[in-house]
Amino acid sequence: MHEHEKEIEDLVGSIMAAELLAVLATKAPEYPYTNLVAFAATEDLKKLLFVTTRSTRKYLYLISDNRASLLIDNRSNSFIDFRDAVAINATGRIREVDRESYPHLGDIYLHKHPYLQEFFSSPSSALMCMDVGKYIIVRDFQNVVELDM
Amino acid sequence: MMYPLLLLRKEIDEGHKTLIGGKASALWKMYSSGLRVPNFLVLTTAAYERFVDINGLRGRITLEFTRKSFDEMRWEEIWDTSLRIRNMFSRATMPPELGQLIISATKETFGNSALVVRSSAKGEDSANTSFAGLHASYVNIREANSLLEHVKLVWASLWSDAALMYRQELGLDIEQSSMAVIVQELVNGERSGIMFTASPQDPGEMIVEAVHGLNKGLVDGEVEPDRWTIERTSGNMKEHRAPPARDMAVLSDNKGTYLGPLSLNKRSFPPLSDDEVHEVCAMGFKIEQMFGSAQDIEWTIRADTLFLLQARPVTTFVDKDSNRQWYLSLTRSLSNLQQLKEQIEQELVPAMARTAEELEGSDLTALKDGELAAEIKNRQDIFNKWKGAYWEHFIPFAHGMRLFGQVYNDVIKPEDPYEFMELLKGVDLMSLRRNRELAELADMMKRSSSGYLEDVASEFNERFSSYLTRWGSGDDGTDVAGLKELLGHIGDIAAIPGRSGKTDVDHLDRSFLDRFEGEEKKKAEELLELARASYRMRDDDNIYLDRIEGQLKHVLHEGLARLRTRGIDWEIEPKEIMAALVHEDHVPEKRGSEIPARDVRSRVHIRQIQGQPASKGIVSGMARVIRSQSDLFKMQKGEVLICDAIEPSMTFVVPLASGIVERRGGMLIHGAIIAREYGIPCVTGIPDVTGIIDTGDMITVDGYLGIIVIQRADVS
Repeated sequence: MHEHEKEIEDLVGSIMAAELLAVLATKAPEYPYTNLVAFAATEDLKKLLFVTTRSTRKYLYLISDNRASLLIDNRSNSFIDFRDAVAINATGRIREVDRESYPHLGDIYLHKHPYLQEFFSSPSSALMCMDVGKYIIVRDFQNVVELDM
Repeated sequence: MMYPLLLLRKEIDEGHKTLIGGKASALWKMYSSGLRVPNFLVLTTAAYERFVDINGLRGRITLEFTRKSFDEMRWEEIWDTSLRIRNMFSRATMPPELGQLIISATKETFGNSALVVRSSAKGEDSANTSFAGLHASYVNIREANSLLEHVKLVWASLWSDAALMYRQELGLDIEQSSMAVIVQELVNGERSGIMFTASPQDPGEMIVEAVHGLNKGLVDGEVEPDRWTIERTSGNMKEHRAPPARDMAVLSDNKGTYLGPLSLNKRSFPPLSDDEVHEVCAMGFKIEQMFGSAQDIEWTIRADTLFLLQARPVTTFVDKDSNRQWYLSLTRSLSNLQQLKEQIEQELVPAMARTAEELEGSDLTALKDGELAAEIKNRQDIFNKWKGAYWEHFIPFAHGMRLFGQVYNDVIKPEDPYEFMELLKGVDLMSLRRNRELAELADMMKRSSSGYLEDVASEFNERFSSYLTRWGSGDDGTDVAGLKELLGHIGDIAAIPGRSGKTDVDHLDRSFLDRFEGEEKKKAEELLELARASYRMRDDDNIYLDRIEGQLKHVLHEGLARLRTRGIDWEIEPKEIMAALVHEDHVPEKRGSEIPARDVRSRVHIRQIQGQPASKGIVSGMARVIRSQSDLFKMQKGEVLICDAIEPSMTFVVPLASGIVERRGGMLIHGAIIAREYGIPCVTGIPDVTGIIDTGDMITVDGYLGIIVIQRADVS
């Protein structure tokens, strides 16, 4: 693997592992719609998982247009973030996962968020999966690289 | 917990060490042991923190540090960073209650005495981090406003270029690092000096250096001292070395310090008698015992009374980074730079021109192969000699611009820390003259190719040939053909550089000089003149050197041409050309390839990257990546020039470019100067730029913020 590619993948991997929450942006009829979601990533970083109830607006919006973005960052809410924080924008298409057919995806999610067992298991909840097309990584305030998946 | 912002000498105790910094702690220790130290007070690190927090400077410094990893920065970029931070401090407002506290405490403590303002950084001058000259000190400060301004500059020097160079050793950190400031009564010493209780070179020896006048002359290197070497164990004087001349001294008057002639009756006497040298040594021993380690001490004598100005451990640190030491040697005084200017203008430039002319006059075709090989070696030696002179004299001379910039920013406090460059622009740079000629040639070519102006065609050939000889470029046949091709499609390039239009240089010039009066004004005028010469030389020196290099290329081309007749048609290193000329049966090795194109298979694509904002403006255009000389001739008008560094041989394509991006970073480098002269947006200091961009990519150059955005050609 290309050396730079490895460095970027490792960076993305470490932030995906460390951070609990992501901002999900979906396409709403008038304005983009954003939410915080508890997410998990597969080891190859090709899939990002989160859970939502089917009655939410984000679920409805994703049903009508599955193109979405997830923003994950490691900011500490201090001025040093301008130097040290990394923000990662994952873009791709999101679909609901059939938990019985793909139990390992549920395991990955619960391994990271064991306290969400009840929420995850509820019949009204859906396990959602983003097939990541690309990661856009912003570091050092203004440096941007893209990682194709 | 509220920490005191200011402590009088009598208020300091052991518990205040971290608040008052290393230098003040040492001063306090000497004072409390009964040694004679001029009265002082300390603005604590809490005052620094109050100032930076109220002005939001911590965040701004952080942003400066995000621009690029320090490990990737060239020294020019580090200097630029430091300049921007210094300007932030200079423009920031002193919180009124803090300013009032400083003014009233100094008035109460020192009355109307002249003052010295010194840095005292946390951890500075401890045994591990004792580096002289990283932070600022100012001597002979008299008015309240001037005091506050100089306090800000001392704070700013926490982030000086030298400190940034030693950031790892200092543990420089935006959140943790802080700076206390010593305000001390100026002892107007008649004789001053330093002493090492153990010489860094030979710990068995003590060293005393002394000058007439103030210590500033010695510390800044402007006055050469008398030097005594004393054996530590016996106290015997081993050597007294007098300077070649004892004719100058740094003295003070009611406005500041100045370097002036030493009175004639003092010139023939060393600043210290032998007895006084021993007295200084005895004092040194006492201080060494007090601190428990060898000390580097500054002292001064007024009316036969010895005062201690500061003491710090003799550093045991051996800097193995020769680049860093070389860089620190670039910081020079006005008088030193004026001497350098004289040497460059009167000796070096004429000698370079003569060398180039001599080489241009020789007939290489008349030489036998062996002689040609010897001539290649000869020209390599000549070129290397001048390249050495370039580093030794011309590069340090570029500091003239920096010195001016610093003075300009301190007095004007401009919003744009590079406003001073506007005062330097517009001098007649050689590369602009060369480009004007090229534009005229392009125009002639256009007219001659219209078919009915034979005399124009003949004049064109004559002038084109003269151009090649005088500017020393294009000796290679391919280059000449490429240059002609370029002339054909240059079209209506700007023969005269674009101007920013809005800047009234005369007004800036006046506003700067009007800040000074009398002798100071004369000095300011001299500094401006020096800076303009330094600016001009930053471009011209490259052209002079290029002319000599052109002659080296010329002889290499002749050698290659001869090898071609032997069927050797690949690219060869000079040493291989020489070997093949001397030994007919030698098969030369193929030269390594040019800068490789980027690895297109990578899944990682850089989309936006920060460098240094080197010329204002924003523009988008197709990239023309220069990986070899031949790429230059393909340059089309309106493209963004992407290169490792703008070499003097490349400046002829600059007027075609809509934007410039280069790897070599800095505001004052050759490429940035040319870009500003033409008013072309430019970003410098983009790492591996020729590797991450391909010709045809769409590039946005933001010369305001120093950012480029890359839109790849192979992505919709």
